[in-house]
Amino acid sequence: MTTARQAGLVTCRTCARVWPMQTESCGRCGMPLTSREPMSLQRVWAWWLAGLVCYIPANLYPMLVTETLTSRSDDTIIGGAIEIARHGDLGIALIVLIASVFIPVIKFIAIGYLALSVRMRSQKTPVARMHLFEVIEFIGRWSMIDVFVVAILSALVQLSVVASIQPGPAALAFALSVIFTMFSAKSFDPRLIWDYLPSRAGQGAS
Amino acid sequence: MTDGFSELQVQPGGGARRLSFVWMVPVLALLIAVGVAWQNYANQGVLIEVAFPSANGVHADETELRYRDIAVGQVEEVRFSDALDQVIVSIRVDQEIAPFVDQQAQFWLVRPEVTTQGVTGLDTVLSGVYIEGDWDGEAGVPASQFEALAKAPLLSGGQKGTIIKLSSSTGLPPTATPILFRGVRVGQIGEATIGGDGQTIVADAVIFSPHDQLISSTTRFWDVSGISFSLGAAGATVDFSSLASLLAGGVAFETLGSGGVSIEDGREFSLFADEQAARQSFLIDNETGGVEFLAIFDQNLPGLRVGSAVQLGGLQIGEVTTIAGVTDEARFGDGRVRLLTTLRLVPSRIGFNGGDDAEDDAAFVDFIERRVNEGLRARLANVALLTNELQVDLFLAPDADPAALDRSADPFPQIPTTAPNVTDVTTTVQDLLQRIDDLPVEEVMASVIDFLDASTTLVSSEETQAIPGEVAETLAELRKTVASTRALVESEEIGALPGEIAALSASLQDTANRINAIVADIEEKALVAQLTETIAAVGAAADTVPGLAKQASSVLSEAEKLSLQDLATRAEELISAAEAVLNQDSARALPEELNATLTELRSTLASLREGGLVENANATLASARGAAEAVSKATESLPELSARLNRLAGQAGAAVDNFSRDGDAGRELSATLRQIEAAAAALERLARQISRNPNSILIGR
Repeated sequence: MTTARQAGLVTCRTCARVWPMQTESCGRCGMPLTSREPMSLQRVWAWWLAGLVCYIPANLYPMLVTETLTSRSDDTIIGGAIEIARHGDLGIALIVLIASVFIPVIKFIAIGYLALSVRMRSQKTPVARMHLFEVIEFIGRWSMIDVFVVAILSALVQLSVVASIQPGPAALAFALSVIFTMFSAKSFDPRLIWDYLPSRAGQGAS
Repeated sequence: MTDGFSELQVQPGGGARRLSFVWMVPVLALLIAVGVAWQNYANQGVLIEVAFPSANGVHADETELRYRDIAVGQVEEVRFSDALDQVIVSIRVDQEIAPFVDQQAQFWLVRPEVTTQGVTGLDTVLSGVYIEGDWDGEAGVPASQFEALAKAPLLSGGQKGTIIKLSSSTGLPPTATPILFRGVRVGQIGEATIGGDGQTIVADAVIFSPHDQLISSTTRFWDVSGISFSLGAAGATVDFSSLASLLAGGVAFETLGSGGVSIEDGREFSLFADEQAARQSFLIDNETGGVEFLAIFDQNLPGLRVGSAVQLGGLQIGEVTTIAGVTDEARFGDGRVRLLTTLRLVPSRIGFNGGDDAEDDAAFVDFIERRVNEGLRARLANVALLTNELQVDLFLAPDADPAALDRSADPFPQIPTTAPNVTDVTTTVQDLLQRIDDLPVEEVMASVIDFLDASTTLVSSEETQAIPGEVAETLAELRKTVASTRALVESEEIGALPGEIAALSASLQDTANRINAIVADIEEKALVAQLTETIAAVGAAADTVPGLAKQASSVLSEAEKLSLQDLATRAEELISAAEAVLNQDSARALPEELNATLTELRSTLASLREGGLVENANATLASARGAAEAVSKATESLPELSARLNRLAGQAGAAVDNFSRDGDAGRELSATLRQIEAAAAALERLARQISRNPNSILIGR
């Protein structure tokens, strides 16, 4: 089959109207039309790198600073999870670990893999890669759960001298890291996955 | 876009030829990260190591280093020294403070502490211990290895003051004992240690600025801890400075005299046991310009020691500085050991210009020499009556053998001496004790004990103990009697008695009147003549008349001495006796019992009254009245009797002649008449008395 591109057409990504290739903006909704996002991979890598840079301090610095009358404890993400696990709340520890560690790490790996596969003009398992991309894009926002927890705790537990919880520097870095990886995923143009495939009947891309 | 665009798009890598602006983001992030990391590293501060004997409560990444209570660092690591004999605490000191942490810096651990001076470090109970550092505000030679102090130094946190040393041979107050100046806390004592000579105890002490200006070389310190109690000629004295210092102890000081020079850090002062000792010490050893003399005493008496006072007219002007024995057969003429003493006299004590210069000293020696020429001598004397402690007395002995100050004596001028003024109190006291011992104290004691035993037996016997009860009973009975008497007297029935008696007496009066009238009648009708005539006639019968008259007379006299009077007298006696009894103190001591008794008595009397006693009395009186009336009736028959007498007289008329010769009968008759007259008069007197004071019969007054 032919792709829209081979047919000399370009789709509007906003309202899904198809226009001839030369058209610069959608006649229906007015959005600019591109057959492929320009510099998509570049932007993917840039956000990806920014996310990675932020992810390092996010894990090194304390996420949560808990001050009570007698003690003060600084918990990093992993340290906090271990602490929770040590108190016996394995489920919560697991959620924290998955949301704050596994998901971001998997996201970095997945985005890197997708970008690399496009760069390498891979022709393998395009459907699986497409699904991977969709999952990444969907699941990425859940990484913010840790940041929300910190924000809520900080707002709630402010008992002056007795006990107070404050966000540590890692909270900001982690939030930035999640945002940057989301941008990274957003920058990826999934249509690129399909560009180097040999034409096959019954398969097409938007 | 052109056709070439599609070509371009087919090659995704082609986009790489132009750089996306998005690359700014990771670059910026990287820059910031690197910047933060570098700044962190640069601000990391300086790592120092402090060695503690033990690190109780010190935790890595938790324990703070504080300077003036502000955190300026944090412990990074706690480990042992190589030989395991110390704990090395690595502390990361803040960058801006680090330069000041130089060689002079001191570190110690602050933990809660409870002493008599109060509670310190209370905040560390919750927050955990912290390490306090102290250093001055000037950067010095940097250092990174320190030895921690065992306790907080006396001066820390920018406090200013003067550090002195206090020494004592007996003991010092505990650490942190306040130093008080007239009750105001101006410093404190540090930890006491044994001095280098092993004899004294030395402690650092600090006087905080600006109070350290109070300290000079003439300052004396003394202990005001606890209570001092002394018993002397002036009475007993209990002395304590303040309740606070009584509980917590304290050291007081006073700068005595003037002329002290300001002191340097580390000067040593003695701590005296009390104020008196401190002042005493000041008098002698603080005054400069002592001039030394020799004195050799013939007697080698115990009790003189180095430091003993030298007095001139009761004023201490110096002290004994050395004591030695001396034998010099050639010089003294015998081999006895004599007492060689060196006396240090302080000229300024007696108004001389004390000074170090030799001129003043020479003037003082001249002065002593003149005085010696006038008779000044040294002798040993008792300090106090009962101790054998001696002092050296300089006194004017007018009758002393001439002597002079021996300026040639070596090494000091020698003051002549004289016989000691030492009372051998010991002997006297022994005599006294012997005499006391000889007293038959034990015999006396034995008999006293016997006496006491006997008394105890007597007192503790049941009979003796029963006496008070019996007395009380007796008194109660007496009281009862008196009260019943009184009640009887005061009862209405008795009150009515006088009236009845008055009536009785009236009838008696009446009777008497009638008797009088009869007698008058007899006299009027010249009965005497008729009687005289009759008497002769009645002859023998008349012989019996005198006897009858006598009987009547005696009856009447008896009646006169009626027992009523007697009863009244006895009642009076009884009453006064009862009063006397009641007036006794012992009786008064029983008012309550008596009260109770009276109450009982009243009820008894009430019952008695009900029981008819008074009625009986009334009845008696009534019968008395009856008797009186009978008497009255009897007297009514007297006219008849007189008529009969008249008749008798008439009938006797003839017989009178028979008697006329016999004068005896007339005499007897007239005597009879006189007796009758006397009887009538007595009756009259009684009647008068009763009518004048009817109560007298009853109460005897």
